[in-house]
Amino acid sequence: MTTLPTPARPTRPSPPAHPAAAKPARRFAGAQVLSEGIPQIFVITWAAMVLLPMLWVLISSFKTNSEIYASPFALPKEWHFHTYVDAWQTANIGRFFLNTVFVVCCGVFFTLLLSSMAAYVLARYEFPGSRLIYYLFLVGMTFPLFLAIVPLVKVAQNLGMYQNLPGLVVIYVAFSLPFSVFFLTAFFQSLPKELAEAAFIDGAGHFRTFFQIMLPLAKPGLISIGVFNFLGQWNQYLLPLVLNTQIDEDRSNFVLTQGLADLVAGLIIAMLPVLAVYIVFQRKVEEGLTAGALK
Amino acid sequence: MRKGRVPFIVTFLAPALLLYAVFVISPFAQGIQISFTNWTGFTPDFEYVGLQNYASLIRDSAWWHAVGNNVKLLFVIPIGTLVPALAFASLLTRGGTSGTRDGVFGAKLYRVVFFFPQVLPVVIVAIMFQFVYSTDGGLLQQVLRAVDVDMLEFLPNGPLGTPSVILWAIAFVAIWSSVGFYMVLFIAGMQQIPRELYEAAAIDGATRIRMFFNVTLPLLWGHLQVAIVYIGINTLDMFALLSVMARNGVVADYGADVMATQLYRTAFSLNSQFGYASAMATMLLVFSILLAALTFRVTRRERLEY
Repeated sequence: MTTLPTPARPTRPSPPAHPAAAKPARRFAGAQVLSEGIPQIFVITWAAMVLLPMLWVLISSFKTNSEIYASPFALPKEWHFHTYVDAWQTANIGRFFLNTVFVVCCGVFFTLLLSSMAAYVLARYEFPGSRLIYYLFLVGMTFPLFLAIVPLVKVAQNLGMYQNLPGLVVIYVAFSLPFSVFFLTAFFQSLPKELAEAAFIDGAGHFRTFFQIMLPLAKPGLISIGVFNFLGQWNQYLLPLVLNTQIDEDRSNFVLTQGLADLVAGLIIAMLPVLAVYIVFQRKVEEGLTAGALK
Repeated sequence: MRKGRVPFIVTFLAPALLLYAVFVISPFAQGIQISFTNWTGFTPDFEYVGLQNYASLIRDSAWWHAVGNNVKLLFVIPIGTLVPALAFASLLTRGGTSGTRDGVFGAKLYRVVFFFPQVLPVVIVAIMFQFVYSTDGGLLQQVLRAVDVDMLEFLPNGPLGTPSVILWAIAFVAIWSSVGFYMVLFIAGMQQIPRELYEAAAIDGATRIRMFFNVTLPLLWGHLQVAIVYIGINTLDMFALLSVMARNGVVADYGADVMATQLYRTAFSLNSQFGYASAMATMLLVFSILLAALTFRVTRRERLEY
């Protein structure tokens, strides 16, 4: 599905602020109010539609049920933080949260390590079959996950990766590889060749050149792809649903997307980390996700 | 180059390639293979039945019902998402005029807010909208009550309990969560259009609306094509939203079955039929490829160089 000449580049300078000279000066004050006001109505409406459900859920999480019904839009009279304590302890969401953190941290780390190694070799070393391997990774991005899901259960069972978290990590990494390898190959190709050559002349081996010279240079690309995979793995639903089925009454192997049920406080607990990552890495998230579409 | 090249290449490629082959490529290949068998998934033995699964599939009215729902969604979701996304993208950049006109006041903040739903886990979005659509004090009911409309009068079971409404209620959620994403995609495309074109148009006295249709839209065509294919393939899936909101991934079809949810039920419910489910999955792959090919065919234009 390659259509665009260039994938989104990690850093693009925003267009410089333009002098007011280009603005036509012959407009009436009234026309200006209209041309600012009408678009504002549309964007404010949509912003409200986006925020209202999220704020409503947030405020409701501090209320009693009768309060939610009687005064849906008011702030709670008393802030009930115990719903969070209950969710964390009684509903075992604390356990699911820690499981998710474990799976996603390991998953993102190994995705970055393995995909940057493979991408570097594919980008910088000519050898027979390198194009073939590259296209093999490309194919994996276009196939629907559903085609693999049925046999995947059997593969996971045979290899002891069924119903446990390390197994989930391995499978997350495997399915994150195609896009990460694709993205990082383009990134390594864009780095100047001379640096690696200089390192070789100074006597560094292939391994040292990669870990000490190339990997630090690839940091912007690694951050984009790391954030992309963090969100993708944190939000993954189908894989844990099928591969990480319940093993005991406490559902002690579940990740967050499996065990939320109808707990408002649980929703907020699961939402906060991704929103925080987005707000901190806003540009990186947008670049990573849109590059995913432009692949 | 230097010595040690071959061991280096092998050590660096082998782990990724091994994982990929075992957990991605081999299941994909097996999926197609299993679709030609009568395997249930629990018995160790099975036999090849040729195209029998595919033959039963095209006579299966439940499957056609699911395909029909996919088709309905394929009309509604891309249009319902991309048109507002394009409109907001041009409002926030003023027709993508790269600075010859400013975006609306607060454009940066709107951009962040509009993107929020995209980063939330789909399951969270689905559960959240179950609360919104609830008949027991849900947000929709409360908002309607504030303007003196009783939702229960025309939807006694709520949007998710009414077979004729459920699919559209869920389609709205899909639109809600992805408008911001496509808007950001279009803004990125608009920023690649050179400013000189807009300056020339401004000198010629073009209005903002003419600039949008005569400058922005033609130059954004590549991005638009990609967006249509991407949203189309996502709409063929929709598993997480539907299985949570319609609860039909595990139980039964409540009027909103799509190919993915029916497939999941066929494979993993009590009466498991892996062979049949794999035939459905292979058809899903065929539809994805057809969709991509068709979109590029229909929207093909000469690539504009700029």
